[in-house]
Amino acid sequence: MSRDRFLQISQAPTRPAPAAGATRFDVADLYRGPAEAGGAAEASGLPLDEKLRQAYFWVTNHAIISPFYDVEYTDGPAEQIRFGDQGVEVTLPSDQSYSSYVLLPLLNLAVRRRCLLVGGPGRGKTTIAVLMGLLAGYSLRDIKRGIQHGQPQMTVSDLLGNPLPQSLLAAKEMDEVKIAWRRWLSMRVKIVDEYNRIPTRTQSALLTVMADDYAEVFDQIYECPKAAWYLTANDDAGGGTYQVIEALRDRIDVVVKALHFNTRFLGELLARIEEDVRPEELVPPGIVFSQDELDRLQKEVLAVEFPAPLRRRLEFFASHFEFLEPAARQLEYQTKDTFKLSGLDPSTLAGGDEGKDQVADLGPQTRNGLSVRALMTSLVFCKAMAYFRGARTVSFEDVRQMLPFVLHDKLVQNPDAPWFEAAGHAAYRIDRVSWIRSLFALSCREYDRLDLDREDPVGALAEEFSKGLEGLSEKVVRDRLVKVERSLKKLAAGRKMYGHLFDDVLLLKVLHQRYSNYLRWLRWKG
Amino acid sequence: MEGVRPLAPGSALARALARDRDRFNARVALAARRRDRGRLDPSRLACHLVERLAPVVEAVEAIAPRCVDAVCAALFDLSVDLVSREVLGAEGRHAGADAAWRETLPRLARHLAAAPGRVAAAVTNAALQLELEPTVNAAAWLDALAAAAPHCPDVDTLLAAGQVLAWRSGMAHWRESALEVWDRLPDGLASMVLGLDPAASPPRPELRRALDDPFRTPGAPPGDQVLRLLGTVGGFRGFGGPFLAPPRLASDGQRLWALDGADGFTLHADCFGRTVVRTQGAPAEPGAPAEALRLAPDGTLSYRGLTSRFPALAGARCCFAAGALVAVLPPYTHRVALVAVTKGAA
Repeated sequence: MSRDRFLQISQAPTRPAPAAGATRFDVADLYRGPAEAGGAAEASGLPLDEKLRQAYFWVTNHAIISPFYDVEYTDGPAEQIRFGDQGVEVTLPSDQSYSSYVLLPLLNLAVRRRCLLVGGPGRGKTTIAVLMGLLAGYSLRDIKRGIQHGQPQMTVSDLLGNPLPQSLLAAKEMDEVKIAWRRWLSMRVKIVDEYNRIPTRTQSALLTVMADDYAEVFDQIYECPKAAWYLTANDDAGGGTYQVIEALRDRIDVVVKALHFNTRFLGELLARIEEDVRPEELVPPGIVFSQDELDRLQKEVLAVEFPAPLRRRLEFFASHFEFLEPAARQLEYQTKDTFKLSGLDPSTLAGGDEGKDQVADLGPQTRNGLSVRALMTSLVFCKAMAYFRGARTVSFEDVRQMLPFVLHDKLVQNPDAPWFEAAGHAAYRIDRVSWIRSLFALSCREYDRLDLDREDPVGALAEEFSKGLEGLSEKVVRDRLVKVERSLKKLAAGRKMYGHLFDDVLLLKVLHQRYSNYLRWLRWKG
Repeated sequence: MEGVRPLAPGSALARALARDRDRFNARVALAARRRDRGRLDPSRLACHLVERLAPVVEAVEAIAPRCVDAVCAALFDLSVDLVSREVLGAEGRHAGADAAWRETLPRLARHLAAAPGRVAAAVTNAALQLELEPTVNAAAWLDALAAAAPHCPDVDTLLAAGQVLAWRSGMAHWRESALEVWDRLPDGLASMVLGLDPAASPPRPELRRALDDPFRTPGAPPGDQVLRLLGTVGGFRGFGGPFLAPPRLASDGQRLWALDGADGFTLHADCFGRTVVRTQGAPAEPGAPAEALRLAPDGTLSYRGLTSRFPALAGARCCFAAGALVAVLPPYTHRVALVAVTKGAA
């Protein structure tokens, strides 16, 4: 095996589009030929999404042996073949598909969020994080020295830095103490290995850096640059040597499982041993991103459009989970969060779900709802996925593929829900990626059944309100109030309260309140 | 190695190689073992390093000593690749590429220091492309690029200037895209790449208007509109031309075509040169000759209200026009004559 093959970058375009029109003679052809430039800083204007894809293909083809396509895209009919007693379907995707194990860390690099890599020991979790650091332009030496290794004796000083002894002795005030900050704090790719082996007190210090991008020691503050984070753990249940504090777990944006090693590729491992090849030492310069490029990449990702109809589906999906009717008497407090804060045992909850359609009512399958943070992260990663595929608009499939990884740790499963007792559903208790995909599929089915793309009266009222109150007469405002009240009564008439209705009712209450206040003001104005 | 002049130990290249010896040795060892991109001949590489790379690195050290290591690494890798594939270091095989490294790269030290791999690869590829075109003087292009370099503030401008110069060297099919590049050049350089003295050049807008006539030399005053015989293009493949058989002419309204039964070729011409380019998408039908295009047996050509007699075209039976360009196929030849409607002087 030649080491030089590790220097090969997939030729652009990595997502070919059909050419159109007559041949154009382009003077840019002058510089095309056998000589290749190489070098990240010298890239001749390759679009960043193309470069990101080249980086992905280099990692999957040459660095990490991850021959999986679990992020499946289809372009037309895709063949499906059933295996085993459980009738597991193997899909042969008809469009470019990806390995989550490489894709998600790469997207995380692009959007500078926090990625947790989980899996048994020796499965390449740290390696993939190191590769992301190399793609960000750091040397292997700097990356390795910058990795924070979780261990039970790790102190805050180990993590953040120490006061300089001389300044500590000489200082008369706290702000005179100089701190020798740890170098890793300044890095834009931060790796924390086995974060669940860090003591609780030190986890709190880590939380501050992760959440707020600053470190504090002896009242001295070090502002850290925005970074892409990679944390590794042997399990994602938050266990380990120390229980991971919930606030720290909540800061994780995306969870990626290290997929197993396909033994059919043992020959590849053997060749690496024999040739003493370490791909992390052979990253081609052409796929290394400069800081400037990473900044631009993030901006371009965030500029990807999220179409309103798709956003509406995501709203509908998210609305299923928070509502818990027995949790309170006041509507606003009928949430799972209210119940959780009470500290009561879930078994004390009785009823509330009788007669509800288990397909339409997805709420019982989870113990919590989605936080604002989770929703924002979902939006960002959906944009990143669309961008990676060369699109400037998020597609339905992008949302369907990203949600399971982003919400993996955010949606806490209720394994006792009756839905899991149904035939063939037991595996969803373990396979949370497939479980969240099925939740989204069920949600979309319900959305289509309700025909909400065409018939969304609550949405229409909200749209009307969003145009503003300026210049509206008393009569118009009163008419609108009547419409809101009528809409509420219609929702109340003989229907069970589901999650999406809960949010709709609260929205209608908001509209009613806003119109009422405005009416009062109009009357006062005379 | 036998026959290879040793590298001077104190030279800039020798010192740069010594600083990162392991990396360079590993690179050479790997290239010597691989098969898919040629086979590296170490003595040929050594010769190339001493004769071609060393002067380049010296030139960079003279103006940007801090960039020597980066330049050396980039150009070393490029050299290994190109010597393996016998693009460099193979005597006489690619004279243009060799001339680029021997004569031109040392004169581009400032730009090499900024983007060594990009500049060296671009210049090498350009030299290779231009030497394939029989009517183009690749050496002249290399010289013009080096002359323009001091007036190019950055690498992008240098490469843009190179593109315009390539068009001006005779690559007529690149005219349209080259003019888009020319529009973005700074004023003085824009005149220079057209062969004009910036101090005496017409104002930019006037120059741009003059370039609308593809057959009028920039800077030359306009004359009356005439038909002008530009010359011939093509030829039999056995004698170095592109055509397997006497071509048939055709026009799709926008371009002139020559079809030899196996391939289609588009015909291009302007004041700087004439080219024949193998192109996909040849028209299935020859198309109708342009209105008001007439060719008499004695070689009198009438087009767009103009008439001229060209004895060299006597006996031709086939002519087509696209815009201001007329293609005529004289008898008993594989070469196509091109006539232009122009206000430019001959």
